[in-house]
Amino acid sequence: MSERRKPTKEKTKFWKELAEAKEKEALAFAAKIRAKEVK
Amino acid sequence: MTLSRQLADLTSGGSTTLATLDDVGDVNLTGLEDGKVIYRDGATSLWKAAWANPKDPVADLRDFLDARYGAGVWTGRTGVGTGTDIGPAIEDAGLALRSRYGRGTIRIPPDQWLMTTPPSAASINGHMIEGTSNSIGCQIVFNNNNAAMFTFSGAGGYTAGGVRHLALMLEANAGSSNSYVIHLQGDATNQPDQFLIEDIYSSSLDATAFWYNGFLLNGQSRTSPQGIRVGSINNYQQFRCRNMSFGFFNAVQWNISNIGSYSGTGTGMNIYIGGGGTASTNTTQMDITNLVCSGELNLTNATNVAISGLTNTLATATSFDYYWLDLNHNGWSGSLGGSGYQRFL
Repeated sequence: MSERRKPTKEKTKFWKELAEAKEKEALAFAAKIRAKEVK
Repeated sequence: MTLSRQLADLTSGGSTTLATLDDVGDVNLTGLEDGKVIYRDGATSLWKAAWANPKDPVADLRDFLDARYGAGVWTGRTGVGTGTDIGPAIEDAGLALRSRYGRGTIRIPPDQWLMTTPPSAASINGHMIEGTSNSIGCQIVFNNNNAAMFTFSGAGGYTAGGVRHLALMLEANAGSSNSYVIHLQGDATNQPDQFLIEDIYSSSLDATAFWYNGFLLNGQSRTSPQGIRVGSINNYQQFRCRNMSFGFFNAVQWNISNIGSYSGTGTGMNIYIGGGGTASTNTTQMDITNLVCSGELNLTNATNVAISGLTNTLATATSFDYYWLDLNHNGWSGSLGGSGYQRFL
């Protein structure tokens, strides 16, 4: 049944790339906030 | 006392009595902190300086920081775990609004703030907590790894309230915390109905600090009228959780658009829609659009729910029934109830 098909290479690649992009975003925002810290 | 002395008192956040307002024009106001206004407090017949007009049901966080810590003494967040704890000032603001108006708005100015002690539900129930600019400009950093940042319970009949235009960040070095971002949960009598969440960006300040839960709604303890009733979430991105990003348990009539879960660990990117297993404890009448779930979208114990968007994986049970699902998923396990429409990519 097509709705239950196993993960596809294409979709797995999409989620991997999204995870990488969001990880970069999270780190960049955290760095932006921490850049304001008084050393 | 001279007017200049009185104004010096105002400058430092204190109070004084002025002869007439006309006299103010004759005095050097240079020292008055930029942005503060002078108002007459009818209760004490004193002239005071404040950021917000207390005649309005709006509290400015800075006024309550002045009152609790002293004008010019408090600071925003200045480093990891350092800065003035704004939690007690939010508590004070909430109680002041409660006393005078019942419900109101607590404004958080654009800055980077530290919260170590979360305000009690009793103080913030029914109030709107809002950043004055947007979720990027108004940041609250939670320096507590074992509590909920904002809990709303509806206790005392103070239902409603909301959180908007804020970045809610877990402090660096928090590790695998037990903290929640927003927790809605009441009892058999009161729940935080009519709730509004908008424009929230939640993450942590380093790659190893994880919230336990992001947003958790649990209305299962009230069965009549059932659940936490009528609410909306618009534009809420949740990063860095380790248990779940969003959970809706006995939510009734909620409208949700553009929520996402990202960069979590374990089950932290999962989104749950469910309930206790009986009609009066299950979720019903929910509409979710533009969903991005980077973990598992877990659907059980709910009826009349419509969802469209993306999910990495999908897990369902037959107790999820009367549904409209329009999803792009990358793997589905379980079964659905007998009545519904589904369109899967």
